[in-house]
Amino acid sequence: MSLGMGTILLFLSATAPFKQARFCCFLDFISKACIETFNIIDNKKKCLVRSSAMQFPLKIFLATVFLSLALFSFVIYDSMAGNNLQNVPSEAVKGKMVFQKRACIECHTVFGNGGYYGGDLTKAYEKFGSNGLREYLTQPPLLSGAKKKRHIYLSNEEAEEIIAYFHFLQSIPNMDWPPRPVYDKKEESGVK
Amino acid sequence: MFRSQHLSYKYALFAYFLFGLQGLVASGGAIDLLFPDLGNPIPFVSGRAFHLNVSIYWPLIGMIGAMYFFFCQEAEREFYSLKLITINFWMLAGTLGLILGSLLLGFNEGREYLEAIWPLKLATAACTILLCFNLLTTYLASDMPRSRATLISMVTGSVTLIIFYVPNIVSYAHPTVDEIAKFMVVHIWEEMSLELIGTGVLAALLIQVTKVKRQAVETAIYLDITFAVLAGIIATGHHYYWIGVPSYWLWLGGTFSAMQVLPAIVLLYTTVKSITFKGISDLSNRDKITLSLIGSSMFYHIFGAGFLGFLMAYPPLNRYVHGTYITSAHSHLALFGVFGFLVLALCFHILFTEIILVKKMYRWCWGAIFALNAGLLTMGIGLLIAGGLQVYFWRVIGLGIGETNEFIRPYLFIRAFGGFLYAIGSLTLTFVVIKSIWPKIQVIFQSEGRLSVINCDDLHRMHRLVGDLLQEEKKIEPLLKRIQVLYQRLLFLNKEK
Repeated sequence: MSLGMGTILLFLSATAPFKQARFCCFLDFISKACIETFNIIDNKKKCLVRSSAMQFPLKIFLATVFLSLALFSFVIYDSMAGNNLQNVPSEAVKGKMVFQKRACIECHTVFGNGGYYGGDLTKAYEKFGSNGLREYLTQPPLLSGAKKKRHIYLSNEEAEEIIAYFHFLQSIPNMDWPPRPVYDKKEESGVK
Repeated sequence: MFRSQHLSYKYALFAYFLFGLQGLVASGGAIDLLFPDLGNPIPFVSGRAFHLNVSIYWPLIGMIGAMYFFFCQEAEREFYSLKLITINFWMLAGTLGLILGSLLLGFNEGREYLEAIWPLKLATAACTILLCFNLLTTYLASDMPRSRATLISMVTGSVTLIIFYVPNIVSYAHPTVDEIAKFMVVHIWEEMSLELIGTGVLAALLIQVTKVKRQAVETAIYLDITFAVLAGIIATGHHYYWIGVPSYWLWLGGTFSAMQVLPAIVLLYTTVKSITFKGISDLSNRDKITLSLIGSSMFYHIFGAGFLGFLMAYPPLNRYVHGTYITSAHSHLALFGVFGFLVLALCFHILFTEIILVKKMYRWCWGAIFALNAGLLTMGIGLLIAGGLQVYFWRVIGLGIGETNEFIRPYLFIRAFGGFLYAIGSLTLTFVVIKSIWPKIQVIFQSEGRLSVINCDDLHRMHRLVGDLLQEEKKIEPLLKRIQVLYQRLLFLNKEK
């Protein structure tokens, strides 16, 4: 409306005779002021529209952050709460400390995570038994490809603790990972 | 340029130094694995721990430097505290130096990627808190719209760095809980926090270099970061499949991991849309190298991280490929391929904003980029084949570890060769950067106050003095003319006498 008024006033001031110059100047001033006001209001409206348009993606993003964090926290809590995780026997805790102190994870994997050269140890207790593990750790063999370098040596006490840890690892229900080989040699030869 | 941007130079330089070091140590480790009797001064265990930690920290330091550089540009104001930027750098550098030194000396907490002893982990957490504090206070004090996508992206990314690092300061008795906590850093740091920070910083860089309009990329940035959060957090589940958690993680991890391809595609679309072929030819040599490094990052983002990760995260497939060198191939292609190249691009752009790189050195840079890509692809291919053979020998025919290692040895040779190529590229690029920066090294490492005196304030003062001198020259000119006229009269009078 102010634009329309301003335009009309400008038109009138432009067509008024010279004798009424002062009145025309006044009209000119008023019309320009109206157009200026309209532009300011229009710009503010555009700013408001733009800023509220920009707020919407931000709100969606922040909502996504909070909901994702909430859902993640809930499922983590659910995974650890109740009877999902058994208590760790004290010998197994000591064995875990030995395992970490010797940084076995740099060459071996547990649950498939770690170094990929030395093989997975999740079911090592089932595979080798406590006697096999004890012999391996206290009388370490040569590493594959080596003629001099041997596996890390552990004392008898450390070996017992780590065996307790492997025994506990094996008991964790992890959907039977790692999978048995498709052509299991032991099964084929009938050995249990 | 803001003073904060000057202070970010040392972050970028330190990142390049560590990047060069990583290539050397990793090559040593690859050779040790192939020839165990060779006798390495650094034990394999210590070397691998060094390699893993430096591979997490140097992109982090580079990214923090990039944040300090681009955040103030986007907020259009100086950082809240310039002193904190310097303190943050020395804290980070000191912490990392101690971590790497302690790992080489055999102090190892025995958790992959988190081998540092707990006081140093506490120090790392403190560094991220400092960063977050400075960013948040600057953001709140800025006059720019609160919803500016680049700012939101960087702030959120830095806050999540702390949230997901703190649970890992200590170790847990139950191995499952340990794994749950560990992957909050190993996965969420890389695929959510650094993705958010990287998106914000990359968008700011592209707006600056290619002059693309902000409105054109804002919506794409929001789409990208929303997908990154939506997919990235719950997709951590693809690391949880076999660690002893309930089976619903197979569905959660698998579904959200599949969604992780979306932010990569949105990011690629945004990058390509902001660059035109006509535009590239008009760019400076520095910007061409920056964009080629970004292009490398995009390539590995789609193929190394995106598609390979997508295939690996599919639970029935993951059951067989998990725990083999295929995971190692993916981690090299994703971690260095995506974030490594991105950080190299950002740090290169930052360091050569004011410092001029000699033309001859640009040819070395192109050679280095070629070597890095060739090396990384060779490593990736070698590891993929080695991993594929492990899957066959272990999961199909049930061969033992020793026999399998003998069969995959040739492919570990290929990996080592790729690593050698990569090391050539990394050392060349590091050499070029350090050689070019060396004359200005003192200025870069000076404290905040002295840097401002030497660089910014003195320049302004000099500019004012030159302006005053020019004004004075205008006054002096008529005087000189009068003196000249008088001198000529005196000469004439002298001749007459």
